[in-house]
Amino acid sequence: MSLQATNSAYELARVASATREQMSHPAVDAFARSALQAWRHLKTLEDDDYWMDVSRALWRVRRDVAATPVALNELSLSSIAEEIDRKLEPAAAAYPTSLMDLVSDALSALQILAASEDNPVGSAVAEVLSTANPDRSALLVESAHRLSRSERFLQGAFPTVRVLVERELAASGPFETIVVVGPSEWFKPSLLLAPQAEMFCFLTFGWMRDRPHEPDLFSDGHMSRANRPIREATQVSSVLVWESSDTSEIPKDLPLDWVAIGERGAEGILDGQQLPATTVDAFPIALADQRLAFVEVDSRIDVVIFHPDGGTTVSEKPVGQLAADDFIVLRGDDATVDYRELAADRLLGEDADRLRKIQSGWKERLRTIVHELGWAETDRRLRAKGLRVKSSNLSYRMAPHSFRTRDQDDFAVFMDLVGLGDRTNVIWKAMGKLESAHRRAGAKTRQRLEDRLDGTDLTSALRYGRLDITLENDDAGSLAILAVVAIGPETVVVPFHRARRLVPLEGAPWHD
Amino acid sequence: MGELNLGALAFRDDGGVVRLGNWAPFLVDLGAEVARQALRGERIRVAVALPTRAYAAAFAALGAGQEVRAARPSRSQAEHFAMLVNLPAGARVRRVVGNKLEPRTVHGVSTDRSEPHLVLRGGPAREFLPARACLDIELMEEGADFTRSRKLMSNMSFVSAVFPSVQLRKFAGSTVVDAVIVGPVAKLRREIVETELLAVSEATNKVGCLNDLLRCDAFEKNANDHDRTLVVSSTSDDRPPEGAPVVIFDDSVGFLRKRAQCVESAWLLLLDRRSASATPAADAFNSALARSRGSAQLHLKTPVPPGIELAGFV
Repeated sequence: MSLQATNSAYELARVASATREQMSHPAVDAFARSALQAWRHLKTLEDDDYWMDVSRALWRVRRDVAATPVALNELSLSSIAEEIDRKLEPAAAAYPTSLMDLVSDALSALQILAASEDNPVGSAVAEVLSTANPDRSALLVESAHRLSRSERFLQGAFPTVRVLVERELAASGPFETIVVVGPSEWFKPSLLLAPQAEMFCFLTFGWMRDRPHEPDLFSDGHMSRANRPIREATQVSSVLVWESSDTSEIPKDLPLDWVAIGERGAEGILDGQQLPATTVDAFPIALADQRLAFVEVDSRIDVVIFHPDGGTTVSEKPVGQLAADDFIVLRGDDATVDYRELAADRLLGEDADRLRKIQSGWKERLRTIVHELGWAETDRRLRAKGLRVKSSNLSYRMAPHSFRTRDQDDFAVFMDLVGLGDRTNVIWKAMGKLESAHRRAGAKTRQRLEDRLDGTDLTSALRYGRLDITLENDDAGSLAILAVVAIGPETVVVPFHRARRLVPLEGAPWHD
Repeated sequence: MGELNLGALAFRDDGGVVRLGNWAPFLVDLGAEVARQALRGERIRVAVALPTRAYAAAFAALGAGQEVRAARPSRSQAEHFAMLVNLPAGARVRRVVGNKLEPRTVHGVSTDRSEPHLVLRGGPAREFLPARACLDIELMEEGADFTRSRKLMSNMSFVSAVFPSVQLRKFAGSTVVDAVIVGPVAKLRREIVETELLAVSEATNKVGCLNDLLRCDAFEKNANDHDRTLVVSSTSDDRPPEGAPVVIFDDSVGFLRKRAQCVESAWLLLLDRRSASATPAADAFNSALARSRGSAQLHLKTPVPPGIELAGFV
């Protein structure tokens, strides 16, 4: 970043301002009202799965009509209306009339929308852009899946206006004007605190709330504030504290059905008649490009940090600390082997086979015991033999990505249980070698990936949340770098071979 | 800012000359204030969220280094001489001769004259130096690759325009580290070495770069040689030196990885507000803040520019 650009960044922080253009459209407003009333009622039936799809459909329509500059009849609303309609008839006998009426009202409003050729968001965008300098303006949309439609809309009247998602802004700005489709709560606080434009114009419907994120990065406990804190420093603050409207019970993010998502991961676990497949507790993670992955609890994962002023850093992060918009590294769709394991085996050379056999040998014995005795009894016996660690964490111990306990005495208890007590020292050392090789291989791979990313065009990663890359002289196949969309609130048990694999999810319920 | 003439700093833009905005003096002031408190024995931790991280570490290091340098007690002539004459024969030292830095080896001490003289070899002839002539002689670090003389400072006119009252020989010949930056080395190189700065004056503008002022070890052609600012890579296994008064963390990666290695130093954490990794670093800062004794009172002489969030604790 040049000194000119740096001067400009601070100058923008000083002068940036934001306004809100409130959109209104009778059919859209009517649908929003009826959808809200139906939503409220459906929320009281939270334990009833029957209406879950309807609630989600209503949420999606509200978001789609508010976030896409496209004619309403091009939003595939008819098929959503048909889905809701199909749900209505069988429910009539089982649910109160009041509920049925509310959903019917929402459906009617939706059917009117589905037939409308109006483009309320597009009209508002055009109106704002007509007063701006189109060569120095951008349109900001909340999600990558809205990019192509938004670009098509602008092609005719405003061909020079760029359409961007938030991740791209730092590498694309600064602009004179950014038209933002949606309220500020859909975006990060840095949009306005480290502004990339002199003027922001947020386009929102009157029924949409805007409760901007708490902008402070640092907690207030012992805060020693600057004499001009950011909220007073920029002119956006007064605009951003507008009162929320009546829709605060509608969640900001689409509520995902994590149970169904978890079930996708659990497919393939063998039944009780056979040895249990190696399973692990994992977090389900919704990713960009409509992909899903399960990542083991208590593990670490490589993450790529795309620095706003260019360049990348590849580092490791505990899975429990992952957050939306982190970019994680997984093996690509074509990869058949785990790149981390391959790199470790290379470091170990001829010894790799021997060590892997030792590792799988004692884990296989442990798995057999768990199968025969059950989890609770196995745990009880370990305790009886003197296991001191708080949790025996059996599924983790059986998984190939664990090597040994922190304490050798605890490890000896496991070896004793599996009948290898006399070989504890040998196996302890072998597992130490494996663990160390994995650690070194991880660091080496991260460095190679960082070198490979240096000079690589990162546009695709920033725009669409995905980048596939192959490391030179590596037969591990491609690596996929994907943006995290959301992380499941609870862990699920998945077969180990499913962990860290990309699961394509056609029609995934998240947007990116 | 005392001897630092920051108002003179500018850059070329579209053929014109543009002065640096008020963000640069603010960062220098902030670095200096953290250093002042650190030198008073306060283990202060300060974090700043900025619209961009670019150049922030360099300017903060400039302020911190200046403060550390000013506060460092100078060794007396007698103490310095005693250190030199006690070096073993063959010890490698560097000596300032005019505007040059030259390598020498210690031969011993001569007591033939009215006062003891340090005897050096490696110059045109054996040199006999009394204590008063030895103040510019410094012991070379182990492993220093320095056999031929070289210029003490390549850009004296730029440095003197920015540091009008500094003793240039002392500034350039010192081997003591004044500030430490933990950050992305390649980016810092671009900002500190490859970016042209101007020191604007009524006569001719002097051209230079931040490294003329910071003298970073990582970017000097002859590492180990009269460095003032130590640059430690965020991602390498290198450790920041123990006991440095101030460590400036130029990004969240370095802070998350290396803050535990710098518990004795004051921290200045610089976060790019736009970076996705600013939040985990701020979280780590906040958890340390939650265990702190209280807020830090920062006495800044420069107004905090808009767009900056600042927190500190002791």
